[in-house]
Amino acid sequence: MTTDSEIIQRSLEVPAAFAELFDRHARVVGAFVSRRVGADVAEDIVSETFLAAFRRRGDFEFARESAKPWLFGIAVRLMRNHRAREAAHWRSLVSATGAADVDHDGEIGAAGERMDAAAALRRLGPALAALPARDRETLQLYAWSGMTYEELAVVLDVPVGTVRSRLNRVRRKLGEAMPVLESEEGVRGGSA
Amino acid sequence: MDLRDVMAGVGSADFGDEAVARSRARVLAGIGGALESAASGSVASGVVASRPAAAGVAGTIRGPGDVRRRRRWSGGALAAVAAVIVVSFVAVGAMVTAQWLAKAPTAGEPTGLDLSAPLLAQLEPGEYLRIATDWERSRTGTFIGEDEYAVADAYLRVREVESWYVPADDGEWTLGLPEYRSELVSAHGPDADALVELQGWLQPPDIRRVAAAGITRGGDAGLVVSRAWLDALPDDAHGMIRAFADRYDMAAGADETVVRLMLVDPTLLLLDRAQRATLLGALSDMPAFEVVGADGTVTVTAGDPGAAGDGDPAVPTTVVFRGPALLPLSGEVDRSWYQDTGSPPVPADTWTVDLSIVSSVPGAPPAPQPADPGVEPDDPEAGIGPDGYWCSHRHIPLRVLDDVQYAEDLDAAGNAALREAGVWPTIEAMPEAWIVVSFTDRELVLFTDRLTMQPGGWLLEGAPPDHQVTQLYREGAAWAVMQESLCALQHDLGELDLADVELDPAHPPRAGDEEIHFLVTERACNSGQPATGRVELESGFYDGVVLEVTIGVRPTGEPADCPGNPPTPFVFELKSPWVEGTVVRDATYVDPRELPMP
Repeated sequence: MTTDSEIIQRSLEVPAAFAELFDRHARVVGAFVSRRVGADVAEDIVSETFLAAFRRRGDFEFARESAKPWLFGIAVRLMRNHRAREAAHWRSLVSATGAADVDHDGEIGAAGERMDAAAALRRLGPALAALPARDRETLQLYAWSGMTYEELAVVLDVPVGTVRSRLNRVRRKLGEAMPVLESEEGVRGGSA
Repeated sequence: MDLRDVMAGVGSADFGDEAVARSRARVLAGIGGALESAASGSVASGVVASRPAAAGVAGTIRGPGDVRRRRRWSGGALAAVAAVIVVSFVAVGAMVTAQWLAKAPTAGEPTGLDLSAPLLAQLEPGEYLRIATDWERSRTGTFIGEDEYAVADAYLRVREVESWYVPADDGEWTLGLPEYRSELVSAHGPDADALVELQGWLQPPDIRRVAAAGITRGGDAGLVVSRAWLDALPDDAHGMIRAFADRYDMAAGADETVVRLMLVDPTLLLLDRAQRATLLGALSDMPAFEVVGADGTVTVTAGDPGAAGDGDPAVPTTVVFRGPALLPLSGEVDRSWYQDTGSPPVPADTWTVDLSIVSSVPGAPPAPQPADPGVEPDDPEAGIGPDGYWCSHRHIPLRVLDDVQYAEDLDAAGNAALREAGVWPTIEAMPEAWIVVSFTDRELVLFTDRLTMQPGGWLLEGAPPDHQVTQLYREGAAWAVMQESLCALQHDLGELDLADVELDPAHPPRAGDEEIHFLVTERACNSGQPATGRVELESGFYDGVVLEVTIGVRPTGEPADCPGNPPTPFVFELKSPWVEGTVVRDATYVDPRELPMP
């Protein structure tokens, strides 16, 4: 299978070849963007992401086979121009999940181990909303892009240790509402 | 449950086929537009009509190739390297060595100075005499493994520029010790590669400011002299040697050792020619020194260790005094007799002096002053009382810890500073452990309790370090490391200065005592006078098991020289009798340090 790197290299001579890169990654990038800022502006951002990538394709590090982290990095930066929209979108998500279903003493109910994702979100909504933007962005990338810590480091242009510490901090904060998250143990493939 | 499980239910990944198709059409149209614009010579915006331009964003995008990788060390069979010869070495991890070295100037002809006239008299207000001693030193080392010990069969030649910036008046001196990161000149011997790799030879820049007249802190006081000290310097050789001995805080009767230090002391350049001539004349009569004049130079050679006496740490030293003013402008120090490296003979350290007049000095941390505890002038809490810590002359305001900003929180400019200064690999290893103390467009200071440096020998004699501070400074367009220091973190005592505290050996605690006798040595300059009447107890705690005291010295606020201060007795009154075996701790340290029983 042709690598992303080879496609980009070819597109330097044959620009239309870049369309293949779009076909490979537009859907996953679009899904991520849509979750972050909403479907209504996702199309714009995805288009801008790939156009920016096309203009900057000469800067791509061709030793890397996958362009996914690079494309996500561009998308993340473009989305920062849509902070107000993202904030409104996030508020609507948290609001939609409703108030946390907690006991009077603030402890999670007895069904913790059987909790499904939706129930967890209801409990964690306020804590998620209170996360610093950069931590929330790291969490979103980790959770929704399926990328490894190393790939996230490329996306965010930070050391991989920063990715790890941000996610550990997120776990700590969210773990106050949901103790099962406090430990990094059990993370699936996060640090591959 | 993992974060991914939890987040799976958040929001809608709504980007279906139609959305993909519409975006694809726009991208292809944009690519076509870009090609057309490029063909016509204009800048390609690449954005379809009615869509917001992304060109501005694209300009800030960094490709994956910009991400610098942390270097991995190959430890080999040897687990550690011991501190090497002469100086306290630091392990700087994977620090990039080349970033500052290129800026180290090459010594050239003295400029802007009449070398036949007194140097300081030629300075205009605002100017500095730069005395740059350009050393090329031999470095070797010792490898220590779990069950092995090996002297490196190699030596390195390392260049270090040590600079003094002497002001036109009695203002602050700036010292670069060294001014630039040390530079590897050459490597010799079978173990040379390992020696280079371990980087024990590498000294980061260390820029300090020291007040020549006035209150100061730290151990730099003996390096600088005030104009009053120079003016009062006797004209006879013995008087000069005694004056330097006082400055070095050395006892009488050590004239030969004092002279050895004088010969490599840049202060010698600040004396009058007549004083230097008198001194050289006196050395001719001292058996340990050989003085030879020829071709406009006077060469002084200090003898070998055998001639100097048994066990004397003296090393063969040669200094060449040049020109009509007899300026000591070059020399060498041969330390080969205790640099046992095996097969390669170790050449002597050599030095030359470059003199010039400059109007600016390299950046440096501000010299801590009692009246300026380091808080911002507009800080409403300024002057209220203790509000932070001290780490290697660097004040750490409490607010830095109240509202922590970590290295990982730095913006692009901060990250760029770290990269440019070459400390990125170190910070990258644990960005959550480095706390930003201050960050301006000229300075970035971070500190951590995760030590990456190894303490040098002199540090081991004091309180073990538990923190590390790094200062970056931007000189022109370039960021560079100005300070990397270890420290034992101490509380800021507010209006009181920190002091060194020990139990008075003349009055060791005995069971039943109701008073404990301490000796308190003021660190700030006080012209060699005791701190009588100014030693104060900040806090004390005693329960029959432990005695913890926080003792400081109230500064005089008066100008003072810095020959070192004598200890001052201080008595702590116990509320209950002393119990044998009680541990005494100095609680000025954040991690209180146990004081040895006399």
